[in-house]
Amino acid sequence: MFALRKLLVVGAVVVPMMTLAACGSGGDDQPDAPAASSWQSEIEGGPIEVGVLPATGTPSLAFLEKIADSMATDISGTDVKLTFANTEARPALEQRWRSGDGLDVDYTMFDGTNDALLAWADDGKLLDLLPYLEQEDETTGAPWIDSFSPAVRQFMEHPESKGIYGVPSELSLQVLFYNAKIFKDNGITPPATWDDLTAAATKLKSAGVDPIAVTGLFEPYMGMWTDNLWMRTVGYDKVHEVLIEGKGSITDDPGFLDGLTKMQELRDQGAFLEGFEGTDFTAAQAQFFQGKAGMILMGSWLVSEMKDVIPADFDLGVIAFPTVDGGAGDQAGMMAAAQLMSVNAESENIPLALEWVRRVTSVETQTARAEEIGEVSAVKDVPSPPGLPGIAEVVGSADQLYPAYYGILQSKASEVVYPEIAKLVFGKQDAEETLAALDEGLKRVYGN
Amino acid sequence: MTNSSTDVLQPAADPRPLAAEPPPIRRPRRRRTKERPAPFRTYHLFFYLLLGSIVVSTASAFAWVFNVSMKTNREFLGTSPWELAEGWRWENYANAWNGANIGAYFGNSLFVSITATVLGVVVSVVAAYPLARVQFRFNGVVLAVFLMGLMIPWMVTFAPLYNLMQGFGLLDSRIGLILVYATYNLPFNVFVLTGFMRTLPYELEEAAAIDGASPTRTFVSVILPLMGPGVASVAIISFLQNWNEFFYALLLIHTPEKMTLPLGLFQLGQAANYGTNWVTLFAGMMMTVAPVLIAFALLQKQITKGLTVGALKG
Amino acid sequence: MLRKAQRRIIVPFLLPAFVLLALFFLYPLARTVDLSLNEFSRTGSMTFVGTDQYERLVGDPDFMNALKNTFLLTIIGALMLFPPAVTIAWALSHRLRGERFFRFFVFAPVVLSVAVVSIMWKFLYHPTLGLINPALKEVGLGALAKTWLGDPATALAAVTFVSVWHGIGIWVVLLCAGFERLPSDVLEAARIDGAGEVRILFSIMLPMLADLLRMLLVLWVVQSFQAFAFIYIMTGGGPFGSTDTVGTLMYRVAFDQADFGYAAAMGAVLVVLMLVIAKILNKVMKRDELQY
Repeated sequence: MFALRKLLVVGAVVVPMMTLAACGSGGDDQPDAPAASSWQSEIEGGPIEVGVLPATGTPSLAFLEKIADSMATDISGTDVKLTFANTEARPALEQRWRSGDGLDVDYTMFDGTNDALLAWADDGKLLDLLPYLEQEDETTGAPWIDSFSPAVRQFMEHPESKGIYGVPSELSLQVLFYNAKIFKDNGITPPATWDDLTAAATKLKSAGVDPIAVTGLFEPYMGMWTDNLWMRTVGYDKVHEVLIEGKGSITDDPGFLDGLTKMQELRDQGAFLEGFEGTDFTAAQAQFFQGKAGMILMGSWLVSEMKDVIPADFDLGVIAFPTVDGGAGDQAGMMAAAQLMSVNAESENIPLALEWVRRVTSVETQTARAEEIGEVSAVKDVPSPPGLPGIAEVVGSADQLYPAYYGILQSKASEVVYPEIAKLVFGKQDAEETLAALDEGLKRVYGN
Repeated sequence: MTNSSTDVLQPAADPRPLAAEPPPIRRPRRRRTKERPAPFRTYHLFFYLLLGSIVVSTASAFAWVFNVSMKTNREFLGTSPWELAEGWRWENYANAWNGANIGAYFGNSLFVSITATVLGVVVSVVAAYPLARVQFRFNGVVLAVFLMGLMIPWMVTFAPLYNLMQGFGLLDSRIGLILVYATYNLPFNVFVLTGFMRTLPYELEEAAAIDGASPTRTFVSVILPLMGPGVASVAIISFLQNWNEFFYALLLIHTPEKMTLPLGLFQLGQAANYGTNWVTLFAGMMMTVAPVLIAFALLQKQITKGLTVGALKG
Repeated sequence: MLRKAQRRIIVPFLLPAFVLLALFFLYPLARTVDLSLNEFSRTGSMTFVGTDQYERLVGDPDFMNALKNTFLLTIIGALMLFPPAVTIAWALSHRLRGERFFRFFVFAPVVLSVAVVSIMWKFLYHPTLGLINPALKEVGLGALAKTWLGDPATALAAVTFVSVWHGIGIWVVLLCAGFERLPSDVLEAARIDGAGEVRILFSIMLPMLADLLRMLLVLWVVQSFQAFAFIYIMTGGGPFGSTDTVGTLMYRVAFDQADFGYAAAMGAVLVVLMLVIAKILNKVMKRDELQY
């Protein structure tokens, strides 16, 4: 009896290790995968199920439906089923993956910058795309991989095996949106530094406009502010070490307290939208576009998401998160997330899945999506979306893209960091108390 | 005390002469349920105020949903919630119908809810009989197992359940959903029906046995006819639960053609969140709510009566 | 002889229900306990860890907070639900004019989907655009205006209120069943003796309904221990955990952190707690069987 138990335990350890070893060496030895050099000639029509992020009835989805239709026309027998794969559909979809019934192409299965999201690749569930990406693309004559901006490679690539398990269909950047008309009317220049920001907030306040729209009902969006502040006052790597890897203490680096103090000052200034505590993100965003707030820190998806409700004459401005003078962190970095499409290693029709990925990420498609939908592309030579004036300069001035949220949401610290930040923003505790609470919580979950 | 009314079996609108047809159970009717309203008393004012305020709150909620469904998205977010819509925007309804396949969802919901309810009620009425009226050694244990089902948080079991359904090939199928719903109706049904059956006099079976009827026959021709109100109440409650169930539908159904209404509304809700398309969601809500409310208004007498007369024996 | 004949039907009558229950409820439940003894990777492979997950629970302030909120929600909800439900059912037992009309409106919210109700109330609660705060200001009670869902002091109560508003119809109908069943001769006798209606309610009707009330209370506890949908849609457990219940925490642990073993352990603890509470309620509220 005891021996049997032991055997089972050993088996449970050995089997994953074997799969680990099998997938570590790259995609070519995956039995069903087509040879990298010839995959395009092996494309055959058939049913295929691909995850999509936009919801039913949105123009973004209609756009993807067009791609699906054209694929069905070009490759006979093709039937592309688009399955909603955004946040709230994940539980059911991940359960399908666990049961060996994952989508052929899916989102959120991999992120090279987030340790918690390497597991699917490590277990051999995802196809290593590197061999295919290294092939010359028929249309451009250059390797497929070269069409992606080098700045997003960190998201696509497994940090250890160096395989590529995801290809970005779009990029989201955390930027500060502002109401250019209100700024102009009140003689405010867009804030380049933190001091500019607080000065702008004061002026907006005296003009009777709430300076900053934020939601109190979704903690990570409040955390976006401290995420960015810490990038400036501490630096990405150090923040990542403390919050995600559990190395050292949050009290070691004075930049953490500095960031929290700046946040507190903003709060004490009354810079946030009246009643933000009970305002959900859609309403907060809508209030910004109605001119009830001067600024909002949000992902670059904001414009495509709110397309239907942005007044025609709305004058939008986009800038990078303000720099912090004398901050020890990175003043030119920008927080970003890539929406990565991964291919199921057990897909019945890998060539067709690859073809879907190729079509969605082609320069042609990406250009149309930027123009029609307003998505920011991770593909080179794709123009910036016209709905985001100035985004090109903002991106151009960023020397480095850093992973949004530092990966907190999937980490052990997820129940620690953002709730404490929310308490700070709500005025339930001050900067020093927040630091102490974070210190205690992090020590508890990481046991250090 | 015995349950005195079998009214639910009678055509409700028929004011039958009281003396002509003696009620089947011996107890004299304690109150004629279709009486005229009671004469007004002063304290009734309190009741009217209370109920009136509920009417106002519920009616305004529905009015609000309807009003929003007649707005544009910009109006919805830009004006105060109680501002009247600027015009009649029936195109929101067309968009919801075309974009979200509401008709198919509605059909699926109806099919799944009704089938699961019928299955759950039939199985549990049969099971409740021996549990309520036959003494055997493990009676208490079996009943406890059923009733334990009332106490278990449903979410706990989802992962093993998913794998089980996959093993049976019942994933992404309406049949699978029906089986799960019927099972999750069982504990409450058995609980109510055993309570109800125990209120029937034991002489019923004894008399039938003396007449030479087998236990099965006794059940079918003596007990079942008296179960009308109890069955009606569990059927209605099961149906409402199945009609509103969301989590398992989300977990077990993937294909849009097989989705039930709550899932369909969820999809519209996603569109609302990610595409700021609120008005279509509200139009979709109205379309799903209206037929149910109309059906309820028409069948109200039967439904509330079924629930009132048949429900729980404390 | 009758007893003997009856025994033959036990197995065939119980079998269909039992098969369903065993397959779709008992087996997954047993498997859940099994899962709680394991640790999971995101991809679903598991390692046996014994009772580690349960030991983790004891020192987890998030679980304790969720447990506290679950209890709070159960109590607040019971206070919000039962007095009005009993009053409404009592009112409806008086054969008022327009009874059908009133019944219709009391019951109508039940047919609305949870998603519909949550979204609607989220907007009604909205601090500046909503219905409640502007209305309070209008009547000079601006001091009572709150950020409702955004204030940790009121959020849990606000969400609980919505779920009560949505579901009260069912409870009223069940209570009506109880009121209908009260013997009218006893009530008439009390009236002839000159007892007031309120007195009759408290001294005669409610004691007679004790068994029903106890059962409804247990059902309420069971239901609120599983509270999930309204919270998930309206607050997601926030602000800073003030509306986080075991249901929402389990969901996050299972899906955001892919920690199914830990979630299963939470579920198992919840099941045990629920059984204990049901037992206590039964004991505390058990009265002598009333004969009427």
